[in-house]
Amino acid sequence: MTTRAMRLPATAARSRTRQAQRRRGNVSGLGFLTPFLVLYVLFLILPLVLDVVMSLFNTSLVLPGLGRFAGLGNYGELFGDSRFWQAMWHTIAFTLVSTPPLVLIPLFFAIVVNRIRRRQWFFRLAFFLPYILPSAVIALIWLWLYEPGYGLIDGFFSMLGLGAPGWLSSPNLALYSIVIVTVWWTIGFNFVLYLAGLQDIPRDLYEAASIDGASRSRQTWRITLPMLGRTTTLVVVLQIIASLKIFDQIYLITAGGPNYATRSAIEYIYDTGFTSQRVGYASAASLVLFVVILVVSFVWLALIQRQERV
Amino acid sequence: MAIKAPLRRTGPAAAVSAPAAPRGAVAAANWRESLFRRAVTGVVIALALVWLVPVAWTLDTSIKPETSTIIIPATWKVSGPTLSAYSAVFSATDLGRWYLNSAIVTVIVTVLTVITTSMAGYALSRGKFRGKGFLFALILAGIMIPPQALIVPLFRELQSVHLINTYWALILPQVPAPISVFIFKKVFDGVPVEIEQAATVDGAGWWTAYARIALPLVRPTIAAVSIFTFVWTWNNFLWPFLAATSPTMMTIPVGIGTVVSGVGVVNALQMASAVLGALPLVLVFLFAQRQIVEGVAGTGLK
Amino acid sequence: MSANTPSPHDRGIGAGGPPTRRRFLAAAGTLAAATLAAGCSGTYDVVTGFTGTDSGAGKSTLVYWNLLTGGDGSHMVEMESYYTRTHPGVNLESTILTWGNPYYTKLAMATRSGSPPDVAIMHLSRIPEFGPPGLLTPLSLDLLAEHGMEPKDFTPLAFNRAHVGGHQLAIPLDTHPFVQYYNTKLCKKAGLLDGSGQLPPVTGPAALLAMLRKLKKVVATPVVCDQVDDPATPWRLFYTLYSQGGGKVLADDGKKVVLDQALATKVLAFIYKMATEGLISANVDAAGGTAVFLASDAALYWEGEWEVDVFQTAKLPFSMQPFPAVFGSGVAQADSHTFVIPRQPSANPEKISMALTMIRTLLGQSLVWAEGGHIPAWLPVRTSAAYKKLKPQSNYESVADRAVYDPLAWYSGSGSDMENYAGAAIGGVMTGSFSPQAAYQEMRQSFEALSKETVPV
Repeated sequence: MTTRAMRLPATAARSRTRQAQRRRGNVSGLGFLTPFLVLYVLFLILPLVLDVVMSLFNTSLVLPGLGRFAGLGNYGELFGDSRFWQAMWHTIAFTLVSTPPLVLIPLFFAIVVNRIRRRQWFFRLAFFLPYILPSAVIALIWLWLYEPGYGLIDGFFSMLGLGAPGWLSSPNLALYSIVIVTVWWTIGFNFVLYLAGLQDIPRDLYEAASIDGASRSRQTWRITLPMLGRTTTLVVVLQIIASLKIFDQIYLITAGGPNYATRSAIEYIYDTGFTSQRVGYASAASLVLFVVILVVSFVWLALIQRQERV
Repeated sequence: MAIKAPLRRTGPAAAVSAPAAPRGAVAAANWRESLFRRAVTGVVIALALVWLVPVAWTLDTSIKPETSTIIIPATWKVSGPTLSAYSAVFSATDLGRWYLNSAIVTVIVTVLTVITTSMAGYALSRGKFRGKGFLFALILAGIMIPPQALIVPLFRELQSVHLINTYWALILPQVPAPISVFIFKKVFDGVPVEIEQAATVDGAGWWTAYARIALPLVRPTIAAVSIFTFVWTWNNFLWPFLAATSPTMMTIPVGIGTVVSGVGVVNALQMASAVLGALPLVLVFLFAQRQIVEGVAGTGLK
Repeated sequence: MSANTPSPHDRGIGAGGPPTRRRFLAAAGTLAAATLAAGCSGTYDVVTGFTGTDSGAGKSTLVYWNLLTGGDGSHMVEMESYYTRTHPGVNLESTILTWGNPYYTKLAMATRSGSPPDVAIMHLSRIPEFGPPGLLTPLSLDLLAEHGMEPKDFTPLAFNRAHVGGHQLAIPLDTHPFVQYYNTKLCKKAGLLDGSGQLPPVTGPAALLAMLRKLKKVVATPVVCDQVDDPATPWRLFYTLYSQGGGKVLADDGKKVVLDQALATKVLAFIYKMATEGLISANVDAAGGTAVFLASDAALYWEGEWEVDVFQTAKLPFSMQPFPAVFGSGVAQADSHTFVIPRQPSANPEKISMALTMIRTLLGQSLVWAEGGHIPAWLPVRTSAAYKKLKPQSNYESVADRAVYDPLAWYSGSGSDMENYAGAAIGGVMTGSFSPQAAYQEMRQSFEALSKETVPV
């Protein structure tokens, strides 16, 4: 305050321009944010609000308007809907079964590959190439691999003199078959994350350890794995959240079958909202799933915070 | 050179610095360890080759005549390789149109995403306007909203304005990416403000500061976000599956996954369409491998 | 040079800074140019993709969707090429989508969002889902007559079922019932064929079981009927037997479940008996069932009639006949493929006329369609000498008038949830792994749950 009073006239004029500039800057700042904000509100916030609203009505896909008011009726029906909870269970089972291999196998690959100085590109190609393929292509490839009789996997089994089970037609086996597909498909992402994490570990730690006489495996246990803690947490959480949202490969390979044995939560929402045309009910199911994913995300945040503090 | 050395010198060095242990025993232990290490490496090499089998089998089937795809047991041998399946894909399905749709949608989404999120990130980094904190928190919260949980209301929303089955429905919902805003903001935070301030004093406006000065400094981030958005958008299945109701508007993943390519024995045809469907991204991957990998790694380090 | 810099060997193909970007842009540019070239060379209309009018089709384009992914699909393709040959001014854009819910979901979504196909195939049993919410263009009988189609030209059962409120919602193409295929060589070996080399129809459960037991002496699998990954077939088997006994499943447009416990468990127990006696083999999927019959590893095959092509091409000694009348009348479960004109956002009489002309042309080709096994609904062909000569397809022609369609409800029909739930339960009985009582309970519960859902149409 006092400084302003002491300003000379020339500086006063310049400060006025700076004030104007600052105001213009503020407007420009907001203006710069606006394009994103508009799209964000329209396509992320508004649908979320609409989700909540429609879940309270019996909205139909093929009829206009919101339909009849249902209050919490949709939620009531949802909690008693065994097929919804089965779909949730399939999703959770899928998460539980697929996460360990998708965390441990790429870790193992990354540690080994990181030491191989030459031709790392070969491993990167082999493990990461599937990751960039679209799910529809993956589905075609694996439907053909799993084809009863003519497929390569059945052929391999018959070559060994073994009978092959119904990979996709057995309700007990189908989910595991899809886990195998998912591991093959997405391992590259975690592999690359681990490689990056490994390359972040300072070399001198290893040098110091080997001077002290630590064997290579000792170094792996005592240095590599602990230093990868943060990366591993990230991999685990990203993996869990991605698994909870699973849809593509299940829909494209088994269509949720056989007999809905592999139907995931998102596919249940799709079936209810678009096939059975019950948009209001599907909105309620979407919100329940959203809350579950939110809870997991919060746990993640808490974990990351704690790790950062250490 | 020096980098490669230490890991291989553990043996002798350890022997030198551990005078109490007899030299022979340590050397034997190290030899055992190195054998174990070689075995493990061999396992990984073998697994990497196994990882390539599905794609190799797909290519193998795609050049077989259809009748030889239904031989039991399955064989790798191709008697009379032919590319007829590939030309059949184009005549049997709308693949050409799907390529076009994918290209249009993906390019526009990528461009719009980079522009809007970098502008937003810049505004959140440099701007001083009321409500900035609140808006930033709002956008940050959006990172935790899974788009898959919003498919039903989103469809209803676009249905009510008659935009379903247009490019708009395919493009617009895929543009807002809160995570990219966060990435850009962080990157801009790391760029010293003085450089732009120098320009601003000379009378340059916000746009010039952003476009001419700040953006060029964050080129790697732009590349990473572009590549990531490109790959993710091209491969996106669920939303385009809902938004494109007619085959002429479908993107490649949706077309391949929805439209039946032919009746009868169509295994080579389906494998050919798989190869053609994967081709654009494989090319992108081969040319931009490093950027893709760095982009992926970058999300980890954030 | 820190330890983290990748060595030149790890950088991969084409890596290394500005040259990479240039090469990448060049590759991208070539790809883009090729795509645009492909795009501009056809009738692709990118502008329409942005403006959303007319789903990218021109004035002389007819967009046609169907779900004919089975053997009959090739017959439809043949009929389509006849149409395009005789109507060169029309560009027919035909798309095949996956049978069942995926097809109907897409059709409903497209119609409700304003860009449906101009003409589509629809099962008669799915009309209750599409009719009430106004997704189908009602066709007046005058309009049909203008295009050469009159009610008297069609199988009455099929035609009337699509006639709602004085208007026709769908034009039937065929009736496809559940039938019995039989291997003539194996049946002869079991001493079952009559003087003319045909299998005389059996009536009643005892007679059927006796026949199956006789067949068991000559082949390990008397009858094969698939249920793996295929809920439709078990449903058809159950519903045929149940309807023969006069049973009804739903009432009041599906709001009430009237499944008769006594009759249902009787039917399921009969199926269970066949399973536990080893008279029926059900541990195969649809392709597997066809393969078993094709290899003469089964004497009888219970399935829809559309597999006839496969067996004829392989010159298998076989014939076909209506499904045996086990529990009373000789009715059989069936459905009909029909043509519908989905409701367009704005009525386009020229397109409708074009569609009706196409439908009439395809109906005229019903003999080609019949070769694929289906009973034509177009009476001029169904009653013709040429069709009667088509053996074994014309053997079961009378079933078209005795067809029992899936119960009327918005949630029932070919490929519907109701079929899926019921088929799963019945399939278990077919393999002897599910008791009749348990299957009945499961079916009842599923139907009750469906009937209580708020009707979205």
